[in-house]
Amino acid sequence: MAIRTVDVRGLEHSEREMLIFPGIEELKPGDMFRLVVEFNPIPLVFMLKAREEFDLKFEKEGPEEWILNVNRIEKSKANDSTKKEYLKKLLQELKKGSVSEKTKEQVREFLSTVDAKTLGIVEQELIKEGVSYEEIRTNLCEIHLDMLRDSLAANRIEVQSPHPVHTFMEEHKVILKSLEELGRLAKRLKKAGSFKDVGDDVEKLKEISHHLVDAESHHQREEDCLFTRLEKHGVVEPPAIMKMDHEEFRKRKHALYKLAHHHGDYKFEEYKKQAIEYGEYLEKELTNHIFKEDNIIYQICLQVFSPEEWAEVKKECDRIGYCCFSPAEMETHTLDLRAIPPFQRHHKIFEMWDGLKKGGSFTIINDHDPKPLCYQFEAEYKNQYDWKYEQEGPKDWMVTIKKTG
Amino acid sequence: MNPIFRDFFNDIKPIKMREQLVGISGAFRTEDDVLEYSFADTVKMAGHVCPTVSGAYVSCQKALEKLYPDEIPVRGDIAVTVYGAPDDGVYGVIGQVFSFVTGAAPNTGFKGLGTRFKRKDLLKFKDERIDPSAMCFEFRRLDNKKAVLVKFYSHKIPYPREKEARIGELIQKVVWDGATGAEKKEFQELWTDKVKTIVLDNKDIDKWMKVESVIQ
Ligand SMILES: [Fe+2]
Ligand SMILES: [Fe+2]
Repeated sequence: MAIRTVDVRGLEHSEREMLIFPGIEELKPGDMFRLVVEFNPIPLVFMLKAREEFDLKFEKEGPEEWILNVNRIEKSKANDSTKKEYLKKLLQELKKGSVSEKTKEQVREFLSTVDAKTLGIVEQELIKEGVSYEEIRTNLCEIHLDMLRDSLAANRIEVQSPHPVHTFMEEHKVILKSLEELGRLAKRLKKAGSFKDVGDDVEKLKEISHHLVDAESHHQREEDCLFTRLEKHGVVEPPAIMKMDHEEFRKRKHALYKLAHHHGDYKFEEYKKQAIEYGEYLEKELTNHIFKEDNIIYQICLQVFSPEEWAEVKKECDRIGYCCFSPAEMETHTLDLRAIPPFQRHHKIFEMWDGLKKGGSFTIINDHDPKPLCYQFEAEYKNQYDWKYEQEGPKDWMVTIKKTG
Repeated sequence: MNPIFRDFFNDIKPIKMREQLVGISGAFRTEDDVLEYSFADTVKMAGHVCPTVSGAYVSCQKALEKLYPDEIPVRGDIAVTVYGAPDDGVYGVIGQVFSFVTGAAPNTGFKGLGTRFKRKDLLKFKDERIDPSAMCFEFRRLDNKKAVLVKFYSHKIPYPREKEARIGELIQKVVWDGATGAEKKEFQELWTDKVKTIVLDNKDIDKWMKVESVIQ
């Protein structure tokens, strides 16, 4: 049995891929590929598992290095050129636009048997025939993500408030509600013949578009706090697709917002056409996007980020700020001043205060009455704060400070 | 007179700087190497006008006045420390304004000619809070090592709460192109009103900005 060891520690993502993927593709039944990495290669394991061609075993699992043993499972292989023809046919079906579940299933099945090289050649041919690179990318990636999801579902990690993922998922629920409303509104609009038929929906569309725009901070937090970190962990493709989605949504949200707020500038037919187009797109695609995040992206994050990284994520998210509909408990923090040296207490309190958005609050615990602090708030943030004693001595004092303005 | 910017821009005092490096590189007609860095120039650099850019401009102006009481400040001869992380809130933008006016550059800056005229690393960010309710910046002369600390209490700028609230209501509409012509106009008036309060009127400046000498 031939054993090939590839050590990718310290290499750039692209260099890693150049070493790992050809190495694994070339693996012959009976031989072994030993991969040495400095972090847990979870996405890769999922990717490979989903292909059902490999036997995977960890020889070592951290903390400094992970060694993964990859063996190819013997499998009767179909002839390469037949594969090419078959895939070409499938991709052409994808190209037609609407992808049926059946086609998807066929591609999925197929991807698990075809190697990357063949795939590359076929892609090249299709591009020559006029299929855009992006088209192939999106369609194939979609299916790759599906495959990933299946394997992730088995190891699902659940989290509680105030974990950032919990917040993201709660926000999704609110966004989904807006999207459902948008979908219903688009349906009603289809039957309408004039602005008069639409009635309150003109205002309603304004409101929905406002909520969707307000949700931009959700997507921004995902991009800045989660996606960039995933990339550092070598998970590049899935967050790149999600980011591209965000761009597409942003364009439509912008157009929908403009349309809703300037409805008077449009003839009804034009208004109707655009509102239905953007509305249906957002309802379908953003719902889909959220599903992928809840079930794949966040799960990958939960499996690859360390507790320290989550603490950083939380801090960065707080800095960016939340949507007006983010779960309220997000902003309830407790600051135990007894554990902090006196000269730092002040600083900590105002750091907390500055990071608070309107409506948010935090609770301080102190070993004496923090009355002087109350005076400072009165002097500097008059009418912008709310001061409430939760407990007044004799040993400890607890005060909840809320940002009201 | 600037034909593009609104009239009040012309009333804002520009910051004069001696710029020896541009001088020796032969860009000037004469030996006189004094350049004016106006608020309009700063806005051109920043790409927008806002209370932050305005506050940064005033911080710079007041710090330099105290550091160079009877002379024109020397660009590139001043080190600036921003007490905040560059990616935290508005500190990055503030740093850009300081860099633009004083010539102090971050680590991407000019390396110098030989050992002279180095601008790189003169602008530094230190993630520490000196005053819990102020944004703090230190300006230090490299020639005599004298330094001042600017404390900017942005929340104490006198501006009516109703107007502030109205800005909050209008901003999404303006940014996402949902505002009517009148709403846009109203927003711009409110916005520039606040900017004027800071950068032109310096209204009640003693309440929102302190410039202290740093004793070493
Ligand atoms: Fe997203
Ligand atoms: Fe999301």
